[in-house]
Amino acid sequence: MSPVHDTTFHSMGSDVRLIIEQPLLPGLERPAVAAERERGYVEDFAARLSRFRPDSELCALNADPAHEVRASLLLRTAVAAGVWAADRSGGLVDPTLVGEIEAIGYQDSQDGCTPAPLADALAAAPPPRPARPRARARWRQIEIDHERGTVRRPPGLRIDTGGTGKGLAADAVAHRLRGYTRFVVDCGGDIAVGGVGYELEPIAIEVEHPLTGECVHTLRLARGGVATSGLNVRIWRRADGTFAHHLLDPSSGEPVWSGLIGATALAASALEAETLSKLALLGGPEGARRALAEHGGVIVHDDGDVELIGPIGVGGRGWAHAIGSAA
Amino acid sequence: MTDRGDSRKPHSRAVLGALWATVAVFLAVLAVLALRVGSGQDPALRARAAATPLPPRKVLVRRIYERRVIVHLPASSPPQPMQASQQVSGAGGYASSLPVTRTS
Repeated sequence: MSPVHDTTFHSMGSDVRLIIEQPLLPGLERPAVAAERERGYVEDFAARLSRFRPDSELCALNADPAHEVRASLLLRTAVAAGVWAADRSGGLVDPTLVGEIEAIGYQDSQDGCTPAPLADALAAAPPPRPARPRARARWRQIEIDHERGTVRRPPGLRIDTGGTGKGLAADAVAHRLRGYTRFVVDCGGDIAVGGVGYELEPIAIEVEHPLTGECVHTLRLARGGVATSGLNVRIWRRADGTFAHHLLDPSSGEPVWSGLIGATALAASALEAETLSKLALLGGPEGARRALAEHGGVIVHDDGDVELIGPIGVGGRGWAHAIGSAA
Repeated sequence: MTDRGDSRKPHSRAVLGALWATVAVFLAVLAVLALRVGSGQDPALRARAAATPLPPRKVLVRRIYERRVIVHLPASSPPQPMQASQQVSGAGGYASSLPVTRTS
């Protein structure tokens, strides 16, 4: 076995874990040095793209009254990732719902806050209904111009890159670590895996149940991404006693109660996995089965039942497959 | 001598007639066969085809397996945290726990 550097730190409102093995090529930094460098990259990434920091580049973009605003490569990439996710999800993963999510009480970071009990929220939830895209998609008005180094959008249209930020960060760090034999970049459960070592011996990744915290399934991944979206962490009780969470139905601007409380998706990248997991959760059981059919995934129904979908459900097709179920 | 010549004449005429009859019969049979072959009724082929048994038809059966695993978890069970993922180990160690994908 090869020496492994395994480190965890807190950033982007969650734990970030880096597992790095030996460099594949001579001249690369030791895994410990690389991990420290990537920690700096993630923290810089989080600071510049935070919706909750007034001094962030994202807040500066959202506050700028001009139609066309100069933006760094990182900001342009993050905005492009949000637009890509909206397009990939048919408008369900919408990066322009900033006003809506602030209106339901998510103005500030909930990092460190105790979430409201999900079981209580489910007991008070309306009948399940899948989310639908906005009839007039605002995200289509966003343009990224890499040649001019700008972002164009109607003034006042605010953008939230948080819905795709962790997946994008995981992919970016994974790309920077491509010279190492094996690496895992886990940004709060949105995970990118790479390196020739995992091609030969895929890594096992556990899926956590949103209600009980138990491992409900173990995936095996040779490369690519896996991500989970759920209602159990960013959930709170509003002043009127009703419950709200951070995954909104774009058509109504209200939290979605789709019949699912968690969705895990496999994909070619962490960004795509994060998009698919959100798409699955927003789409309800039927939408999730369609969204996860290609690469596979796990959904958790609001009664706690766990359902395996796609390649992992039939075992061992493609590059990611299940190796067992810990029911 | 004159009789010899006279007696040979009917003989050669009979031979000639038989020859012509043979040729006529041959041509008639040939014409019949040509017509049958032309109309696709080649008796040789039909006999051969009839003698060759048809290969058994292959029936492809495709079975689609769908395995759906429903895991029933008691709602009252207390949360059981997974293996610690916050553990920090330095270079030279080994990954102490599996990565976990979860809501964040």
